[in-house]
Amino acid sequence: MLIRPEGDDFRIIGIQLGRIALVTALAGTIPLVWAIVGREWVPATAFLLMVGVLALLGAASRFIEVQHHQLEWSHGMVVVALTWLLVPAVGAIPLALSGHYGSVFDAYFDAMSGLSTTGLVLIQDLDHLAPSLNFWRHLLHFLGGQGIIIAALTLFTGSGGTTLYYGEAREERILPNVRSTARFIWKVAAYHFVIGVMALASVAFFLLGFGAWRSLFHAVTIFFAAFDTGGFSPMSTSIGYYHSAVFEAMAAVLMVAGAMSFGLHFALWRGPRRSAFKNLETRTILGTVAFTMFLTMLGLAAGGIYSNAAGIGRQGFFQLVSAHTGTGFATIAPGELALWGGLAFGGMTMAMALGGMASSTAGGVKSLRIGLTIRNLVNQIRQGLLPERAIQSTTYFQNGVRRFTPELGQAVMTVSLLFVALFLLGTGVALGYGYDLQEALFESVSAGASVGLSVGVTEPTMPFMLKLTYVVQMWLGRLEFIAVFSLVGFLVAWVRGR
Amino acid sequence: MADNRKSDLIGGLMSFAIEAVFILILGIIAALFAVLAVALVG
Repeated sequence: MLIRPEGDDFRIIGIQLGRIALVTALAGTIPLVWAIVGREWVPATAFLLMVGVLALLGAASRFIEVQHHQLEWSHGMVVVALTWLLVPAVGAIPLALSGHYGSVFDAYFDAMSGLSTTGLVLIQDLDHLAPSLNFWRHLLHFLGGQGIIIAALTLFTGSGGTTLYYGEAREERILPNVRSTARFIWKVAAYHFVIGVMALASVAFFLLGFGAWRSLFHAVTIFFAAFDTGGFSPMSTSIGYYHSAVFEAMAAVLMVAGAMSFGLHFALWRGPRRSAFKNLETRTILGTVAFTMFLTMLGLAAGGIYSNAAGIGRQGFFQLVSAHTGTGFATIAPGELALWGGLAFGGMTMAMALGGMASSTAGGVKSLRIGLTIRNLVNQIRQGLLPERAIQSTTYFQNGVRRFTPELGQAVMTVSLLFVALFLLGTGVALGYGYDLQEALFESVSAGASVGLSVGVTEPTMPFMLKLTYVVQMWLGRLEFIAVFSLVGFLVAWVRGR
Repeated sequence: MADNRKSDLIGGLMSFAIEAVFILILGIIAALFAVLAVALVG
């Protein structure tokens, strides 16, 4: 029997959403100040409107009174799912008013793409976008990647943090409580920000000949997009704009840092460092990166698009790292990427679908699940070969020795299958609109695994239903299903429960 | 407190250095793969 949610359930959800609105309003003041200082009056007005709406929602939630303050599991999941729908809606206001979008929904698409750290874009004439708006697009990556929820947990005390934390598709709690874990996550981001921005800005200033201000602007925006595995870039030609192998290498370091689990970051910071490389997850991702990279190189060599090994190595390496980490940066145009057929297409699509590490900002099935799925398969085969009465106990190493239980195997397989279904959803819709299988599959995996690489399907003139499908894929893929399913369950209980 | 800050600074720099070395090694592997791929099918 379904139990209908009571008034207090809605009020608790409202209070939490209000807190998140306040955090987003706080973040929105940065581009607002930027626009005012830069005398960008039209974007400034739009940012003022956005911050006003968010502040109003946040302030209204302070007047909500509840009898029982306990935030339950279902509340947390609903809050997270709604956050990822509502923040892009309000965050799209400055984008929609910029005149760079064909429709309001296109602006919502880009805001969702930004917050979910995907990187697919529908913006037009990006190269002439006001700097404050360009900064806001990248700040959305940072908010979504670091987690608005994490920000709210850091700023506000209160019960129920754990459910919000897990709802945002984070599985590891590195330190004894969620709040200290959230603080560590910010600390890692802050250190990478300082070192990453200094490195990128130095390359831009000394090697590329950019001015000081322009170097800093490009360094900050590229940092947000790389470290949060987002994939937006300030220029329409993505990383190809810089024509610099050193800049590409710097971006690749940040992409890898973003795709690493915070457990691995913790091990690298505070040790023991060697055990980090014993982890099943680390070994799996090293294996899948090597495998998909070799497939891609073979495909590129056979395809004859690049004339020598240097071209194959440079383009293959950067695009593959971008795909596997779920970032979506490119050094080649979508039209050129579309020419990567055969094994190169297979390697890239596989890399996107596999994704980065658990509890990172990368999307996709993720390495730990892939490692456990392989382990599950080996167990099944081994069980079949053993005598009928034999019972095998299996362990794996992931921050210590853990037991592999049938329940764990089932959970891993379920999420992996849901990802396959998600990829097929977008592929099916695109096929229905007449796109060929290769481009339909590539773009769908890119949207569902929060990557952002495009072979040219994502453009302002594509059908509305396909845009909507990709938005749903980005939402589901970022939250890894459970929070969205909880929201659906909550709504069904509201309508049909007693 | 000061010790914590110092160890965080060393840890942060060390972490970044390991990531940079990883990309360097991955780049070398990519170059080897590219040469191998060209030799095999190019």
